[in-house]
Amino acid sequence: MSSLMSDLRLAWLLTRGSDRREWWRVLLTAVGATAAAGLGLVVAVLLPLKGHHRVSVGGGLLDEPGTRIGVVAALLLLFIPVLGFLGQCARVGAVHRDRRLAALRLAGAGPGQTRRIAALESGLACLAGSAVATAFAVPALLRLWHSPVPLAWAGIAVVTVGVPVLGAAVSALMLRAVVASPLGRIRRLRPAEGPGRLFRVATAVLALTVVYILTTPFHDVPFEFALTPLTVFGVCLLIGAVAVWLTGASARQLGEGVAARAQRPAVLIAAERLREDPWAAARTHAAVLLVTVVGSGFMGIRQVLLSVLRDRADRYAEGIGFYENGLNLVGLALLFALALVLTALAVGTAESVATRRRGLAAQVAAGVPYPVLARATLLETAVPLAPALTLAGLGGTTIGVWYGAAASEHTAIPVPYDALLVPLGVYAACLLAAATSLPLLRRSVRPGELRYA
Amino acid sequence: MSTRHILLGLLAGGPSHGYDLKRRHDERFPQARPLAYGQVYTTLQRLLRDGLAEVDGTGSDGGPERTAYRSTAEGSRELAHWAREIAPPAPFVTNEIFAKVVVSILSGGDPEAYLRAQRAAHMERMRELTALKTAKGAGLATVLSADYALNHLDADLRWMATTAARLTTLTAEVDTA
Amino acid sequence: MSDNGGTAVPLLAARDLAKAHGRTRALEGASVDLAAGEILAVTGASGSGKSTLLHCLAGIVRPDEGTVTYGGERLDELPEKRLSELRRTEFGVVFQFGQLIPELTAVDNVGLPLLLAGATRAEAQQRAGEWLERFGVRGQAGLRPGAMSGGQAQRVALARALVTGPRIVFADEPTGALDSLASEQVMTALIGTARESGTAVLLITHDAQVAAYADREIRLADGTVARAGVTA
Repeated sequence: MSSLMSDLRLAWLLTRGSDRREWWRVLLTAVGATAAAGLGLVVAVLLPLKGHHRVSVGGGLLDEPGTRIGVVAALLLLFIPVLGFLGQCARVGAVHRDRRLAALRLAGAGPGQTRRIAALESGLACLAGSAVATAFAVPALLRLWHSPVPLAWAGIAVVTVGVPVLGAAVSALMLRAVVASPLGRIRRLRPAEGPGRLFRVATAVLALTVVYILTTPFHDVPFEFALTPLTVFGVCLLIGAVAVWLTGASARQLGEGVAARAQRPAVLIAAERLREDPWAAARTHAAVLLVTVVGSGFMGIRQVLLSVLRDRADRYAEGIGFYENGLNLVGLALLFALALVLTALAVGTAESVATRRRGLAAQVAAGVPYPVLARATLLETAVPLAPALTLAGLGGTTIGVWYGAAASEHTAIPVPYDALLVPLGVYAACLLAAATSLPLLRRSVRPGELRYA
Repeated sequence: MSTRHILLGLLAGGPSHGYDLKRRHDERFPQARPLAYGQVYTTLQRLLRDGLAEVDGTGSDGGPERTAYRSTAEGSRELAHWAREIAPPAPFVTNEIFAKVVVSILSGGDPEAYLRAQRAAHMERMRELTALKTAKGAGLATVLSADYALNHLDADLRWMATTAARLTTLTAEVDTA
Repeated sequence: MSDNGGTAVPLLAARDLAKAHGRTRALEGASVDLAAGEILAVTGASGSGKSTLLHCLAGIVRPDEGTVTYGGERLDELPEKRLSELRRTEFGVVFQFGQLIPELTAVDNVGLPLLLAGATRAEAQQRAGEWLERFGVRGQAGLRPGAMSGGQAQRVALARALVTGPRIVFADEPTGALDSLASEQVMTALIGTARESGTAVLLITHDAQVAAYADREIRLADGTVARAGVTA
């Protein structure tokens, strides 16, 4: 126990002396943990419910077990952007943290000890986040539900404790390469490789599963409105994975191609950076692409669904309001996911600017005009995103068209053009998110940055 | 700087007139004071007397300017011995070290081996000086003079390291001259 | 090519070390002996493999081939846990820069190995304070590395390497970033302490005046020990 105490003391000492960037990482990690814990808490409370309940929130969606499961599934899907956000946050100040861990190892800390200290740092941040979420969730729950079942309480406890533990475990896992060597690892080596074997295997399995589902005929229910959430989920993930793959694979070609033809310096700089590290873009944009696929699929389905409903309003149990409400809630969830994903993008861009601070300052000192660097930073986001978002948008539109085709057996369905708005909107939002790092860029290129710290 | 050895070194490439020797000496060692004719002839006479050089032939006039000299076997041995020998490390020996390197190349000796040995001697002296400087109770004067010597020896070492790295180019240059 | 400094059993011995970084072979058949209490300088041009040699000898990286023996144990075969323990207790390491933790104050940095070994904060700070005093940087005790001059930071790093009373100190270009006077202060501190306590020192440097503080020198060229220099 005393070794844990001394580790805790050391972790605290190290955190206390951190500079501003480290505090940003702690804060962002806590925010991400709050979101994750919040989602987890809601799921934990909903799961034990059986049968019909009158729930005052949720627009009637939580009353029936069928729709309730759908809500739970949607909430679980929301975990993906949250995880993407947390992954992005972990990279803030990562170079600095890696050097600190290496220094600890050099001073004689064992690998297990260093891992514990690093895990404690992130575990404590996650604990703060989940504590905040629980502090809000429990009173709200008690207001809505006067005597929650013990299972719900158990679930809440699991989530509150589980989020920090998971956070600590994941960070220990991610840092194992850094912890292994007292010299610290050069971070650039890994990113240039591309998605690991795990990713490739997962994509292959996913593709096979989706193909299987699509080709197996549905025996009982006619296929029209029986697109199980699972299929849609699978198809979304698959398209997202393929889009990520394509982004990374094409980024290098794109970078080389554009670099060879570039006339303007900003384009040249952005293209060369892309060629240098093609997978950095893919990692940052993975969640954006997923949200775009889901979003455009959603918009397409929504358009079709609403038009079908309006045509045959008399044939359905609930009023149109119920369905519209449900759709709007889904839309809201998607907006939340988009917000998370855009924040992650902004954080990622800011972090890459901060890491290159000294190099950028040197360029400005050597005479590269600031607007060129600013344009290059924006182009670095814009160029790889364009083809990927197009693909993601088309994929989502395809889902909508497919849905419409299935529905059009009985009525005439408009082509779901709504779906195409999504990739355009997301692209514009991404550029805005990237633009938030421009003030940081301006601050970073002051000649004062050239001084060796 | 040992003039007799330098002359022997210059003779290693073949017989030479006294006038030629003076000219080549001044070219090769621009840092040194230009050799006076008188000094050349005095040194040549001493070399003759000691059996390290001999007369190669005379021109038609027979005067001193027209006499060619060459090195004897004894002279080559003496030269090789001197070129290998380590110059005692102290400030301002660079010229001597330079002379030995050039002479080694001229006479087909082993300049790398010489430089290695000289470097080791320099390092040894630097260790002694550092120990002197860091000894308890070393006065300011001791420290200052040790620093002075150390810096000059360090400069020698740096030059020797660069020279060792350049030796192939230097050999080509010296041989063509 | 090997180099033997004495007749007694060496404290640290390396034989035929080979190590490659990617496709470059940094070390190729290098052998070194370090006797107890000896101060050994390793010199050579940049890229000759000096740092790699030091890393292999201190157990910071494992060589691809060859053996490193310390006090009877094979360093290249020890588990990482034991190697970390050695670094905490019997080895001290000083680099050119980068090994102080920027978030900790000088006194906490120096006390870090003690804290890692389980000492209380108060104990660690007290012993650390004594070492800082000895090296003339007591006044900087509460400062973070970023707020000190290079020479002061290096003396703090030195104090950290020596605080556990190691048997060997490994110094990789400890004065590389310093001017001559700061260099002298650091070297006097290092060598003075080493001689007093009988600590062996393996010193890497490209500066002959720094190498002159050692008892003996070996030169590395292209990853292997060139012909041995004259012994003291």
